Amino acid sequence: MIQYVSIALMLVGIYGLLTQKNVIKLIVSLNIFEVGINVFIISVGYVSGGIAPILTSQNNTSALLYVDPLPQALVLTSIVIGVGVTALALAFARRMHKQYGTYNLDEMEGE
Amino acid sequence: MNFQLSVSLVIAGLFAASVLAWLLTKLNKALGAWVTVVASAAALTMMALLHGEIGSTVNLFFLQFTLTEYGWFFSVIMLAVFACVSFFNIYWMPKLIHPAAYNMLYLLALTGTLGAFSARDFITLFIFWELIVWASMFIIPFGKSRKASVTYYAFSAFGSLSMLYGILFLYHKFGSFEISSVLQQAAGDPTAAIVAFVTIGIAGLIKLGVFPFHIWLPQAHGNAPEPFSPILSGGLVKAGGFAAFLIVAVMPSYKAFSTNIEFLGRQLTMPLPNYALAILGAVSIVVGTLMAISQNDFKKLIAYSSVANAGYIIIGLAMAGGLSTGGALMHIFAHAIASAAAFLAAAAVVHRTGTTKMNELGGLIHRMPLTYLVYLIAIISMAGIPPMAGFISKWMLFQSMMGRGMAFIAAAAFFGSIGSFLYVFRPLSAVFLGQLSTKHRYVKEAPPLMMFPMILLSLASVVFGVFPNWVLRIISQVQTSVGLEGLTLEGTKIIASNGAIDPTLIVIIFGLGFLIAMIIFLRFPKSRKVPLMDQYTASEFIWTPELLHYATDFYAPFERLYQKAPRTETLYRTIVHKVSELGAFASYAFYSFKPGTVLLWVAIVVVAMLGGSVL
Amino acid sequence: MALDILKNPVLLIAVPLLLAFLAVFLKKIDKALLWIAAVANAASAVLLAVVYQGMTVVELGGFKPPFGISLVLDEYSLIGVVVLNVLFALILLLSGKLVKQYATVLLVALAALNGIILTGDLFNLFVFLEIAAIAAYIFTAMDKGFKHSFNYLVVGTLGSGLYLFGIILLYNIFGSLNMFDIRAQLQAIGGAGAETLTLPLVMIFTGLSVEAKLMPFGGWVKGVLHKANSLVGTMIVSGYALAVLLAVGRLMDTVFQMTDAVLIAFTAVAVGTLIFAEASAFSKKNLREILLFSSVAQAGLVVLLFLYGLTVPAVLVLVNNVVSKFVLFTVAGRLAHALETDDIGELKGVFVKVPLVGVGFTVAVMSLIGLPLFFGFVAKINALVGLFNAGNVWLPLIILVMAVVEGAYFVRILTTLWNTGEEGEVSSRDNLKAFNLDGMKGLGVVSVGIAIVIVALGILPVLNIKQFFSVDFMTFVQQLLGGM
Repeated sequence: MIQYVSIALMLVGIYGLLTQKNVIKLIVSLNIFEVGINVFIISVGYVSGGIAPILTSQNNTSALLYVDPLPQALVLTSIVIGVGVTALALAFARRMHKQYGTYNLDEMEGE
Repeated sequence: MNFQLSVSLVIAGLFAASVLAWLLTKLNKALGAWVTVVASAAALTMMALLHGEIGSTVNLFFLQFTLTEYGWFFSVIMLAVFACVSFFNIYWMPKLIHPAAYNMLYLLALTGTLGAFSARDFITLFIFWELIVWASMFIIPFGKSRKASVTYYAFSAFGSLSMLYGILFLYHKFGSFEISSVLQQAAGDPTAAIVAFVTIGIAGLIKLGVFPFHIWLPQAHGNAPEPFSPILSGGLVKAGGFAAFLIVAVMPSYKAFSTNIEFLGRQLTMPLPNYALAILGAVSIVVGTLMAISQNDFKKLIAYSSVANAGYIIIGLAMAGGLSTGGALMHIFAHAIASAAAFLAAAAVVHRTGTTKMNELGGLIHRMPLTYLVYLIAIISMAGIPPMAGFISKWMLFQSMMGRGMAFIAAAAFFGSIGSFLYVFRPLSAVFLGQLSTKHRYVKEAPPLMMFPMILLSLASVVFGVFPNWVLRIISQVQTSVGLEGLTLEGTKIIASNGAIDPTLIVIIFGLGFLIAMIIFLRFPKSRKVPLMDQYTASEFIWTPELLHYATDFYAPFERLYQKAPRTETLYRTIVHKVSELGAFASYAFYSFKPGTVLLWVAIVVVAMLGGSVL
Repeated sequence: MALDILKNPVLLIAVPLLLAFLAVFLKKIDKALLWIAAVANAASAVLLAVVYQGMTVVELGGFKPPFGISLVLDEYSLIGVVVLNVLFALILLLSGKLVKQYATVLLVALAALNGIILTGDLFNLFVFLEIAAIAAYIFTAMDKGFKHSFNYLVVGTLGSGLYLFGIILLYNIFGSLNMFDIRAQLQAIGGAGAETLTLPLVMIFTGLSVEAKLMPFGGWVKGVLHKANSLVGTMIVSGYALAVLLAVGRLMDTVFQMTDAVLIAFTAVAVGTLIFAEASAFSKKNLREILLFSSVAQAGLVVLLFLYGLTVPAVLVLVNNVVSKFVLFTVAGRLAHALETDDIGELKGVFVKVPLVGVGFTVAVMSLIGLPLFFGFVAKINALVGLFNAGNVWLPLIILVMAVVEGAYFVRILTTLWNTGEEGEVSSRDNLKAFNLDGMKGLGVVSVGIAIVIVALGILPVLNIKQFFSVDFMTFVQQLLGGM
């Protein structure tokens, strides 16, 4: 179920990237796409009936049913990369605005 | 390393000489040019001495060379042309933009041809073939046109890469690169034979300049620097003849393809692929002749004449009989010498007057009589008139065409011969005969070092026209070495199925006729001289006197007959244009400065790749 | 003992990364740190090549794969690492003045590129790809090309996202992210069920193709590179192309188990790239645009060879392309910088003024076209023989026809740049334009040096031609070096 949601998010993000002309909206669409992927990754690791993969004083054996921790680690990395890219993209947007005077890609003429 | 005289020594020596030429030219231009002269002359003598080594295999660091009869024959012709032309390099050093590179590339081109002709396996052949192409491709733009070099390279690359495809295909099938064994094995296998014939044949046709691959010839030969045009026309195109010889005689194609074909109720005398070659040759003759007639630049004219002569060569090779192959090989020899001599005479004229446009020249016979003589002999040989070597080869070719009953191809060949009178006469009369233009009043005869090779080549044309059997005996050996029948020679006579000729007799009769004509000329009253540009125009000033020069539009009535005919250049220009358009479209459609367009394509292609399998 | 530490390939990634962090704090000496990293990496890579004895797997953090991330140093990645680091050092040598404040970014890029080549783990590859891409987004904006870098950013992030999606699907299927582990599992099931791999493989292929510049995924390339200076241009066209295409090859070797339909689809993309890019290059008049399209075409060719399992020829073609493009793009960038234009018509006869540069450029071009006596010929022959042996007769035909087109536009460049005069005028030094070209001596020396290497590598196999065709190229090189 959740996987369909994540695919839908990805498609929304792609749709946004295809149709939007405003730079900020493009960045937002990119983020939506990345969120979709991240949700998908987490959902891959889900094991029905599993619990959080942390050894605590109550769950202190490895024989219990845990959800897969690896995708969660992957998602952390992916989120961080996404943040970095978004920050860079916003910096570019700012510089483009200074250079061309607009946030709209269609109005940015020149090479 | 032992210094025994061998092909590999010659090739290695030439490599070294090319580097030496480059270095020395940087120090002293004339010295560098002399290196080319000495190196090519030395290579020629060594190759002549190597006749005894035919059949042995030598190695140059694991590259293998084998001197075959036909390889030796082609190499000697090539070397003779290079050696004679190299004398002209000395005079062109100050005119060239990169003299050091020119000398080095000159010798590298020579090395390439020698390596290609003595290669034992296809890879060596290909390597040295490509060496010829890239060495000459850099020299051509030193002349008048940069585009000519691109056209030259594009055509040559198409030919050599087609040959490479054939080579690799044969390697994949037969596991070896060795030329003679692979070709003989290919003769037994229909697919391999067709692939080999088409791919290597295309390479040969392109290099030779046969229709429809002829358009690079006038551009490259006409626009190359003057000392290099004779090399291109007299030397390097013969490499195409070599490739054609490989598929027609060494393979040989009549063993590979069926000769038992009926067409319109009559038995064909040659396999179909050979027929295709002969037809292309016939069209070449017609096209070359017609285009030559309409030229105003005499280098381009000689280049188109080379196209026509390439047609003769290909027809002779395609017929693959004793007399026809002999005729083709003799024609290769005669055309190489004549074409080289004609271009050298043109170079001498350019050296002294600075132009090749026929309507700016005239009357040079008064100032450059020896050059005139050289040019006359060369152009007579190219037209196939006795007593020159060109006549012998054309006679042999005509004999074989009639002997096989190939009427239409013979008709094209006769048309070419007659048409050649037209284009032969025009430069002769426009450049040398007629009246001397005032600006050329003090032009001197060509310098002695230039005269030396020109006279040598003209003497060769004449001598081998009077005593052709000296060359024909060698050609006969070449033919028997690949399994074709040899020529029947008796003393000074050449015997064919329809009759025999005795060239010596012909020359004597010709000389008698010449004598009679001279007596008549001297005895009877002469014409009155009128200055050429003394035109009556009812007191109007003539703005364009060149148009009134009688060499302009010399054959206008005849040219009008085919002026509107489609040209092959248009076809190629369209192809180039279409490729450019495709590229511009791709660049516009797929590449953009906005993410949306790019992502649209990504989405489309991804969906296409998934192809419904996931959904 | 100390030498053993130096033999660890992790240093190739760790040293530049560490120096990058330091450079953030020690802004004054960041350029010096960049130089130190470049030289150290080049030396380390050469050292690894010299002492190489067999495949080395470095387990990071001591965790055995597939539980941990591993770096793999086999012959394949060794060639990549050596060429990459030496090229990076040379790029810096020739374009060092252009670095300005981008030293940190270049250090990160160096680390990431090495990581891409060395890694044996799919997610690690994703991380390094992203890091390298981010570094690329930043330094491609060098000359105020923000719009193009933004384009690159958006397309590149989408591509990486698709790649990530693909590897997560693979993880779902195989339970592992290690390339070699997946390969072992695939070999164990013997090729059944390849249809389930269609979606992940398409995603992975698409993601990598965006970075590898295949058409039509690489639509960002024209914007980014058509006005690039020599530093940016060479980094993308040589460094990044090498690393990403080697990663593609590695994945195709290990993870890709393709059905016929998928193989045909990927082949169509690669062949389409080759044809359209060559045609595009043919239609252009600006030197940098021609070169960038030529790179795209070569990328298509390399991917095509990898698709058919011809790893060795693909690597040869790739290395040849990358080295040649390095020379070509540096010269193009420097000429454009000095003369304010890269229109070929404006550059007539420019090599008459800088002949050393011209010779290096010419040799690089001739190697790229694949003319004999140069290394490119060796690579091309290997590729074509390999394709024929794989039973394919149409692909060599397409490749050779496109080689004619490629040759035509490159010869056009060469003849124009070495000669002067309009059509119909004899080329002579009299009508040479006065070009203001100073400071090209270093470029000339380095390009001639590379030219000599190319010629040497081109002649050596030719001289041992029989051996060359009977054995695998790697064995051939070993025998050659062993014999020397």
